[in-house]
Amino acid sequence: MESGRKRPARTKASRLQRANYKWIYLFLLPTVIIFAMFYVVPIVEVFVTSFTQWDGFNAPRFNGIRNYINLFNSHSFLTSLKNLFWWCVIAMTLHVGFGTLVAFVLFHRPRGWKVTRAVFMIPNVISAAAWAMIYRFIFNDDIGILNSLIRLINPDFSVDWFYVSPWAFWSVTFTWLFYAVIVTLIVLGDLLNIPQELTEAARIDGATGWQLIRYIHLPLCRTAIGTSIICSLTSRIAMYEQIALTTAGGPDYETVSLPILLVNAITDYRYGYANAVGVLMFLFGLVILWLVNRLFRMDETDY
Amino acid sequence: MKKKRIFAGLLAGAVLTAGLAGCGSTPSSSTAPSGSAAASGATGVVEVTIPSYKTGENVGAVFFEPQVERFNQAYEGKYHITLESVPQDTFLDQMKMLAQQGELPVLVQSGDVDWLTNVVYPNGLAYDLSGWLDEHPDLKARLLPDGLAFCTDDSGAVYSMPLATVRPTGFFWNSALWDTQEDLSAMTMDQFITAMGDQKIAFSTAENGWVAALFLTAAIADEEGGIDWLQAGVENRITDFSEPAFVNAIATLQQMLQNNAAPNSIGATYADAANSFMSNQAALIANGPWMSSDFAETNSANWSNGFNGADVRAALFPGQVGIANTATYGEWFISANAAPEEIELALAFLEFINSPEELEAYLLAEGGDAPGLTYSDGFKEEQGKTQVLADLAADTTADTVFVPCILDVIPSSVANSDFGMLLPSLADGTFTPEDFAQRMTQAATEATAE
Amino acid sequence: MNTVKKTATQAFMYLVELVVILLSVFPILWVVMSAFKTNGEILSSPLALPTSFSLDTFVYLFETYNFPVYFLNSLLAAGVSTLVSLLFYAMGAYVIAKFEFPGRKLLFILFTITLLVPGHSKSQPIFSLVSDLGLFDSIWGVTLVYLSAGMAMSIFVLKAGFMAIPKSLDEAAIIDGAGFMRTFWSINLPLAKSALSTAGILMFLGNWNEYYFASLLTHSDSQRTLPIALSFFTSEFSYNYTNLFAALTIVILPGIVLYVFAQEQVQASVAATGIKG
Repeated sequence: MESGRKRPARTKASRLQRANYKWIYLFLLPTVIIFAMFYVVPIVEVFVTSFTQWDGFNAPRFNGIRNYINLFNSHSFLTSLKNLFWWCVIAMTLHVGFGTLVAFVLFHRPRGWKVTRAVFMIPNVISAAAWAMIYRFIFNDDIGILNSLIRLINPDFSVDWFYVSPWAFWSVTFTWLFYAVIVTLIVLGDLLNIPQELTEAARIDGATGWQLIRYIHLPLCRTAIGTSIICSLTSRIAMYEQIALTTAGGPDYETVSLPILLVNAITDYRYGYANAVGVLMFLFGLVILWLVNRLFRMDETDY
Repeated sequence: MKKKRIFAGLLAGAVLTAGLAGCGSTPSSSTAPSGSAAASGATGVVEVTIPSYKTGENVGAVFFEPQVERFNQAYEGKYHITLESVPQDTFLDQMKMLAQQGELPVLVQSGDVDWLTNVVYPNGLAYDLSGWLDEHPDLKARLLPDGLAFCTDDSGAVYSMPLATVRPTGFFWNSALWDTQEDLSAMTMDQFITAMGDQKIAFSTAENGWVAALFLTAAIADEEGGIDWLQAGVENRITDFSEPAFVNAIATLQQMLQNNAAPNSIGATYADAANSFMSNQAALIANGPWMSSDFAETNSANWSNGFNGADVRAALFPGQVGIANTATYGEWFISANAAPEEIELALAFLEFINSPEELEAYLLAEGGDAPGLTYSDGFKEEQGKTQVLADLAADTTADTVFVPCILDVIPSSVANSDFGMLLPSLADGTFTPEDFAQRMTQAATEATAE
Repeated sequence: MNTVKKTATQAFMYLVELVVILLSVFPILWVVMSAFKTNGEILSSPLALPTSFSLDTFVYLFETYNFPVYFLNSLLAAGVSTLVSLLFYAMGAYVIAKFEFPGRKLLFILFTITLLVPGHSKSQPIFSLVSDLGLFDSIWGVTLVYLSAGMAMSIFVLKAGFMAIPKSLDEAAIIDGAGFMRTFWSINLPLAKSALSTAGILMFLGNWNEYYFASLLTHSDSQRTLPIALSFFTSEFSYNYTNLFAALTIVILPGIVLYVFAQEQVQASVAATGIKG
């Protein structure tokens, strides 16, 4: 039924489009201009200077793939790759999973769903920097609320969550793990868009609640889940404040990330090296975009 | 550079037009940016706006903001400086950007050594002070000779205003918790550690591990060859940490972290350490003399648990070691692009802050010593009123050894990031001192790889 | 059997709601509560309620800093940029979602990779652009930069939103004689309200909280935004927790209040369209 409706729609639309090229490009113009103003120069600069030695001011000196060789020989870089990999795995499964779960719960409108939805947004209203500061206090051994609570049961308890292996990695992870409201919003938006007849039809066919979710709702949120995964994975690549203001990458590089390395390189006036990190962040992002687009068939419409 | 600007300009033009056509709410330049340039009003007063981080909540503001006011009063009707606060962590970024645009403010509040040496001075962005200094021999005589030598380049130009004061950093101790009568700075490090017993030190190990770095520096200076090793780092940043003086000092630091660290020291930021000291959780903390204002009665709202600022005493480190780098650039340079009258103002400001009265006021507020200055009669007495400053002044003698802080002689990223990142593992015993040194070497090598 | 299952499902849903609420509200409450304590109380009894209700810290902060000005600046920069760019990106996302044209794939890829440009790499080119336009140290310069901030995410969300609108509706509109503009404005835009509000909220919050460019591009007190104000309390050698928590509260609360207010509006408008079916 679906595909049968899609095909004629596409060809028909494309005939219409030709007459509409003027409009199409006019509609794209503002975005293209913003892209050109704010992104073309940085993107080109990042790529070009990643092959140079550059202090950010004086003329860059071409040095081939030296920066990349140095990167792949660097302990902190390899560790940050490992961290990124695990953070991505956690983001794709637990983070997006939790956000989707909340979306499905809210979709069924249990009592208090409006409050929950509103409240879930609050952590996102706060800047990552403020949030990181708050968490540093929550996980503080001495005055932190977490250990204060634990000490009500076990008075001798003492763990420096952000500074002791292996807790540091999980503490940093915790600062974003359950704050998946973006996922929830995107998925919930798609759920609300599902035509009621589809659900009704499935009900009449005898689908139970779980089957409804598994075979109708979940597949129809495909694009939304894909979008969520892209959003959350790219945020993992770009993760900076949550780390810089808590563990700073320690202990022993266990929570180091690519942006931390990038900023460190800039501190040392090694813009070429920093931009090589930037290029790699870029490439990882592209791979993720491509993979998710493929896996979730993001380009296809459902209706 | 030039090409890019034209490109950006074209794009900007394009978007403004598009914006007008599209919506009309695109920003226009109707709100005139104040900029940092001077505006000579009809009154003939030269006015300059200086972005600074020593404002508001910053610890440096306590002295600096009133000082600028005093300057404005002294030159009323002639010059006026307005301060604008920029957060400390983006201050240098903003200066770098402004430098790139050729729009540095008239007076620039420092910058890091790398930037000054590689960008500002060679590109002629800073005004040469040498001629002006020669015209003011009194002032020149007040400057630290080491500092003046360091700021003077091969051609004799002086781009950075050399410092007149040195503020040796030692440590503070709480006599209510640790009532020692001994001369701590005259001891060796080993004697000091024995004397300390199980008194607690408020360490900060997060951020850049500031308090830990100070004790580490003192421990290095105590080792054989340590002082030379540190001082050599001023010219060439240290990247090899296998030096025995360093490894042994790390062992000392580890011992202190394990035996003498106040609770919550692992992962402690400076704020945690300061609070720990000011709530009687620790008997010692290392920090610069500017901390003296925290022990004044006016700050008592921030004390707790029976802490009393009057009990705090100060000393230089064992072995008469004071942490201070005299061979360094000063706090200010003047933008070479500034208009002549603005440069006059800037010079007047530099002269003002280095006048005997202002230098003394500075020393009384933030501690330190001005070797080139003959103190006025009441000065010593006034200084004696602040116990910790008097303690430090008493310790600062001809025998005092000045060493630069370890954080100033290693690559910036290692100092700002890696050092603090590695400390927790040293404190909890995951690393041996050798491991730590090896990690530092690795980090420094990676940070300087060409 | 069935009722047991139903009860279990209900219980599970409430559990999820409870977890969400606890995780989201508890930290904020703790911060706000701490702002009323003294430094000593924060250190000695982090869990306890404040012993006295004192507004001294807030009075000090409001007397020393122009928080209302910072608030208005934040509102202006985030608000204007969000409204303008939401329209721009909706236009872009709409044609990408609904039409085939040469360069479609490429443009979409280009727009989405903007998400991956590290902020620090953008800083220099953007600074010179803003400076050349004479907008350095102006809240309008910050606003201009914020136009670009949510590009990838918005295009993504909006494209998905437009794709979810049945094409049959477009066709019906065209048959009724609606032109390009009207199909977009009267048919698609209203139906994409949920995506528009999601993208708008995300962009607004991103800009509301943006710190780096705001601090790079301004230095006057009159052009300052809220996140910059917060950074003054975390500068080197500051240790006053009470001031920090109070500043955090002042910076956080307007955002939350604003959100709660906007939330009602947004949800109401989405509900009003009733796009189901």
